[in-house]
Amino acid sequence: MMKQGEISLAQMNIMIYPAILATSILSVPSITMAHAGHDMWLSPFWGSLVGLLTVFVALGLNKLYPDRTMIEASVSILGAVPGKLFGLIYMLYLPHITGLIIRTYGEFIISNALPQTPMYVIMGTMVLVCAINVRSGIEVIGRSAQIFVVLFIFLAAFLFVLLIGELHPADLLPIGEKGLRPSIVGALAPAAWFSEFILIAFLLPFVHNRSKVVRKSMLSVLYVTLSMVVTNVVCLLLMGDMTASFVYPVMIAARYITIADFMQHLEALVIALWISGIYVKISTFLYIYSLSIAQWLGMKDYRPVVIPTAFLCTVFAYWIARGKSDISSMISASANIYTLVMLLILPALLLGIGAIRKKIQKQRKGQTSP
Amino acid sequence: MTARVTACLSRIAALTLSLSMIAVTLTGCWDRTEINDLAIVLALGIDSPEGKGILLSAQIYSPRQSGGGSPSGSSEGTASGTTIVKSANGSNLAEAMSRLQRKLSRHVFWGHSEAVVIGQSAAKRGLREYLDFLLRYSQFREHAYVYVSQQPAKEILAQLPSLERSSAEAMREMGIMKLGARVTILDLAKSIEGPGQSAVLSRLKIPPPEEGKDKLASIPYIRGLALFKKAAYIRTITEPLSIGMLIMLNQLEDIVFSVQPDNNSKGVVAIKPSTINTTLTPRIRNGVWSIQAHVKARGDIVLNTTDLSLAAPNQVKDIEKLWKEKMTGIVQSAINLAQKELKTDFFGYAAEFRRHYPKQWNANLSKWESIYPNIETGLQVDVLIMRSGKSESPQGVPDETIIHK
Repeated sequence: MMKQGEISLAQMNIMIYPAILATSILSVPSITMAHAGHDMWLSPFWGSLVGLLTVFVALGLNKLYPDRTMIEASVSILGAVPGKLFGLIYMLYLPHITGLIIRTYGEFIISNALPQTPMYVIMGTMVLVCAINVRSGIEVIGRSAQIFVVLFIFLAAFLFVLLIGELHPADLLPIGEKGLRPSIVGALAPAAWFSEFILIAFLLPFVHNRSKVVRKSMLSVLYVTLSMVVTNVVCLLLMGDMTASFVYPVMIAARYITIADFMQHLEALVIALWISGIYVKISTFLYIYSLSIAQWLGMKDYRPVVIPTAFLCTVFAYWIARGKSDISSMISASANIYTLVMLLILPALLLGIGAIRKKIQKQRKGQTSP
Repeated sequence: MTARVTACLSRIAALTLSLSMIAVTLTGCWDRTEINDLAIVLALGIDSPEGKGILLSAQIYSPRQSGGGSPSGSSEGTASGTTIVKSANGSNLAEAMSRLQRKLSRHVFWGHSEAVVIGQSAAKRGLREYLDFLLRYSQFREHAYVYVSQQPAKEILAQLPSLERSSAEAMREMGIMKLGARVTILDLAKSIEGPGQSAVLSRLKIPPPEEGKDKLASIPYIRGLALFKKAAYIRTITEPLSIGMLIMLNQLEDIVFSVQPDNNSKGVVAIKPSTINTTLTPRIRNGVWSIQAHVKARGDIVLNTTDLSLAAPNQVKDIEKLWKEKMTGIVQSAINLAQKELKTDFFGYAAEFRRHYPKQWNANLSKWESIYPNIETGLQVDVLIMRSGKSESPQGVPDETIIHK
């Protein structure tokens, strides 16, 4: 398949940052707290280990086949039929996760901003914009990500700074009241989000300056971890143990801001923040899905499939859940394991097989031509 | 030729389609409700007349009376008369709310309510239902201040204070000034759901109207505290018990203590504290649970009707001693009330033990109810008089009567 556009390493990391944080920033504090209790702010640290592992799997796959995405590499590693079967799993999984992201977006907007608007309008308009973005190529996605991520980080930092006056630092204690176990169990949800770092395996072939990729990817994991920790700490210090009882704790936190009698009702900022992040996230996943389908079918260009895949993902957004309770089950513990299997374990197996085959090949070469 | 015509036609078709798409999107927000279709609620009141059902009242901003200059030409325009109160019954809050909407020609918008007033009758039913609704229904703001009122909440909302735009604004300002316990919806939920399982709310009272004034023109003020154990109302306390309670809660800011030096029974010295800071230090030693409460107060003398000159250090020391005794007495009575009489952890002992002794706390979680009343509370009050105001020696008396030593 021909290369269509190039991005820089920084652009890739900028695309991945909201791809992980956009959805996690709103719901992860309460999901983590359900298991980790008071130590929920420690969980992202444990989760980041999974992130690092995923980064290594992605980089390992790239090292084996530097110019191939995971879907192409699977054919090279496993052979034609098993490779295509491996790809088929992702053909079914990617619309599932993209649909879930789109649905989470729709649910959030409906419950917090536009309760009367039909869901298809909310999700449809966003997917349409993202589809146009994806059709324009990876360079456009990378550049638009650069703009929106700045907005995302700025708004998030702005909200957290304004909240400082309302925080109760004493609430950070006790640390580890029931040992470290709860925080490790609670790390399952952040870990599932961290496994989305496998995006690197899809995006890295388009990166032109790959010399510092290991260091920069680790830094990327670090930034995501710190952002999650800050979010969790702010929620904990503001709401204490009640964080777990809210669906969107960050939304509650933003609504709580009251400074000098006029800086209030800042929840619109959270919505702006969320939309700018989710735009990058949906675009990235839609791109990867369209690209994977095109590569899996052996097409020369991914552009023709963008609109159909976008439509399919929107339909999936309806299929996967009836209401908020179904969405919650899709980000619960078992669903987290499902995500981890898809985004970490299967790629890791692929990498393992690939590495062994490479080694065998090398040995054979060594035997035939000494 | 035909190819060119078709190309031209398809271009026109594309243009028309995209223009019509733009027309669809330009019609505006889907959910828009113009501001003149909104009834903006400034405060809500919850009552339960005769303990049956809920009477929900909303103080609604009335734009007609406040918008611009009045046509009658009176440029004065009093601040009052800009709110109206509407209320509706229901077996629960949500039901009352939907009935309230039916009584109004505009969409009720609750997002701007800055105060929640719970009438004593409704408070006796327990706070659970109200808290759940306030934290679930998406429009309510978690930062709204919560009060309990002696009179029905509806009457509090109906007040049209001449000093502020509305009684909601008056209540919000009082919340900020910390004239009582400053409790938002979120704080309230946290303190009830937290390890302490209790809550303290300020209690509002409407003063009787001044002679010749409209009976709706008085400003509700904070008098006393309402105490809750696990969302259930238990009792109301007034000064001086409420002062002790607020000191232990670290919430007291605006108060004057008067002490009477014994050598001069006629006069008093009034001290206005500038800061009062309370810290609780938990300790578990040999299985004995104790709390060390340390109250640090600094203040200035604002009135002196005794003959003491206050220039001599020992006189100030004596006054400090008296002040300390007075504060210790007040705080101790509040501690006794909480621990011995009501057996409710208002001051957050549980949270302190959880923070500093997580292991012991978790092991004794089920026994906490029996541990709490027996916790030894050591109280230490440190006071410091910083300044004696503009004057040193007492004013309004001849110099000979002043005691200089």
